[in-house]
Amino acid sequence: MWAAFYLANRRALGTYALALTGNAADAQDLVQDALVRMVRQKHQAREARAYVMRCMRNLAIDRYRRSCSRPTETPLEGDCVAFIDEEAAMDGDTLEQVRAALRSLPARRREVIVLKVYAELSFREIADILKIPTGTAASHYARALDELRELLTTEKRYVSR
Amino acid sequence: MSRDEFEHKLKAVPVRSLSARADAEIVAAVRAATGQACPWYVRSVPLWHAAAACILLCAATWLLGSIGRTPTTLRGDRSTGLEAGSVVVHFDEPLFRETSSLDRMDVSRWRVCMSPVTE
Repeated sequence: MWAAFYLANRRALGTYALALTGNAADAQDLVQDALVRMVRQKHQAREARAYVMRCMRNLAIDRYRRSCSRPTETPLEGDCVAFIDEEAAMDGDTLEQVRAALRSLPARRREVIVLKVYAELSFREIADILKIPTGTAASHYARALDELRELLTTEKRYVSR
Repeated sequence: MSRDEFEHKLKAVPVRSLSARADAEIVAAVRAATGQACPWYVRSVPLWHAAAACILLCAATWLLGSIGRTPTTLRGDRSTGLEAGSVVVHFDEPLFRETSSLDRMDVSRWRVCMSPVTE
């Protein structure tokens, strides 16, 4: 059941894991550990995607705290845009602008953008993962989009001059 | 640029995912963990399936056994062509199979008749 679940949600889980850890090896470990934990807990597959991703987030926070030996609110501190494919066919300047804009966002808003835009989750699922109300998740998303739009538009104007 | 247009543009940014090898390793680890979490008798046959199969097997055995042991009885009338009032019993199994040499049986009042069922 969980193997089929992973294959059906590999994109969302992989993208979020890459955003949490910043590299592919740690992302693989994170997804694997979260799924094995689900199996051992005999968790039922109801709303499983949000549950697994919340488990991934908690594991990533634990690891980050252990590695830094200092507390942090959110694990999105390393290469938080590692999920963006640098080798894909896209204008290099545009890609770098998007990466820079995403890096400049506050961690929580960046996390909401990753979950909504790239992992394609609903606001309800995002709220479950981040343990915040659904309305708060939606407002974080709206503000993050506005900030990104402003950042990218300003940068484009600056570049075009 | 509207918010929807910008959102669409943001979605167009190419995203990396885990490699095929990583996928295979994750699936293998999950399957291994599933195997450890569930013993073979739970994993391959659910308990209620096994119970239902046992009940069906017992019922089938009992039914077949009772059919084999039930004698066919014919009463004499016009449809059977036998003498009126006579009763003909046909046993699928030998009548004396379970008797021993010590058992006594009075056959003096038995009467030979033709059975319509012939082997």
